[in-house]
Amino acid sequence: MIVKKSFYILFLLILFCITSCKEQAEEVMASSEVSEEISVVAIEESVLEESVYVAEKEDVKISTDSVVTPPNAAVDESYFDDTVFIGDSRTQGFIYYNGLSNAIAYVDKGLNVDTALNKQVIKLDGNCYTVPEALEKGRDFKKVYIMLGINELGWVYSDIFIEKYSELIDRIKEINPETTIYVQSILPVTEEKSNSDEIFNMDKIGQYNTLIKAMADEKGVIYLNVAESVSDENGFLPKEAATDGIHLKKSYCALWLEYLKNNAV
Amino acid sequence: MKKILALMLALTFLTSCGNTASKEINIDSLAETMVSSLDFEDELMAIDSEMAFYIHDVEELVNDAVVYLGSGATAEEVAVFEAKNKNAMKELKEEIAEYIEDKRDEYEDYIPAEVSRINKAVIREEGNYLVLCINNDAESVKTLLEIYFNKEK
Repeated sequence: MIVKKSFYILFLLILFCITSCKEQAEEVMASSEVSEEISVVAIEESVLEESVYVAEKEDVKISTDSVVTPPNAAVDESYFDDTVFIGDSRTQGFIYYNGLSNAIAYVDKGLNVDTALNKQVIKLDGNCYTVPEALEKGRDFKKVYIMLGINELGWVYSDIFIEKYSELIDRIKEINPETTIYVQSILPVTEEKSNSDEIFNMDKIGQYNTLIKAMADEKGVIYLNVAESVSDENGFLPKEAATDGIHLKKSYCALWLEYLKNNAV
Repeated sequence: MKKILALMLALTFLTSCGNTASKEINIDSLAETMVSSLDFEDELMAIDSEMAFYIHDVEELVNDAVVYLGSGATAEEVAVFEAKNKNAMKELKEEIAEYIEDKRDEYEDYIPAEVSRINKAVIREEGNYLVLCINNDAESVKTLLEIYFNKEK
């Protein structure tokens, strides 16, 4: 009877131990799941911080490698007070989103090197002018930033593109020989856009940028590989940068501006 | 449309809670409500006030303006103006009508598909306020503005 009672007590003790151990184990597992979640978040944050750091480091590298003439120290936005921006819808977005109302913007959706020279699309005081005509109206600008080429990617002959681009540079020099001319590379498109579009793809953009850089060298103007400021590690525009794969959202226009500020001559 | 229904419920709740009637509209709040409640294909972002007058040459006509624009991928836009007075409102409406014409011309050669969206542009005048909204769903825009302005009355 005593043995039987002792066995019963022992059984109860074992049962209690098993139950409490199980509860402890569950608690430990739950807490380890939480800490795992926390550590995942921490890792993600550290990766993010690391990529920001890498981006900053790369910015420094970009600023020394991609400019024909060595850049000076970073400038602030007042640097653009005496500046004219010439470009298409992407430059228009850049001006609007960055609030660069101190600069002059001769921009138009769909603008290309030919329409810039020949089509009266620049509105000034209720009248319309070509880009050179508009530049002649106010000759006291000191710098000109140009980004053209995305709308010309579908042209049959790329040499005509460069011919017209060179003509535009020559016209600007004629109008204001003292001006500093910055020619910017064509910005990338997203990988999805590039893989699905016969015209707006990175192969063509790469070809055109090579031609633009050679033209800039020949003309003695500054070539800015601004594309690097908004590219991912494979050279594409990140998916989150544009709803249509081409036009930059506000945050990416800000990266573009930072690049220009860090690469002023 | 789901967003509009949610907004209707929210505004109805605010009204029934005894929100004080006022003829003054907070144009920042209205523009923000429109951008967050309506469905836009592109991501619309606020443009700074100086740039807003660079886009809409109406600085002399208004006390204040709020403009939200997309990246250029679409013609979508939200703009809210507070006119200085009735005469200014008349000129403001003419300026906005001209702006829409220019925008239509601009997109006709660039992204022709956007012209139909521009043709659905809603312009709503309420007291000294003028609202411009370019969105595919003009009916939702009108409904939202109707609710908003009725709440404020």
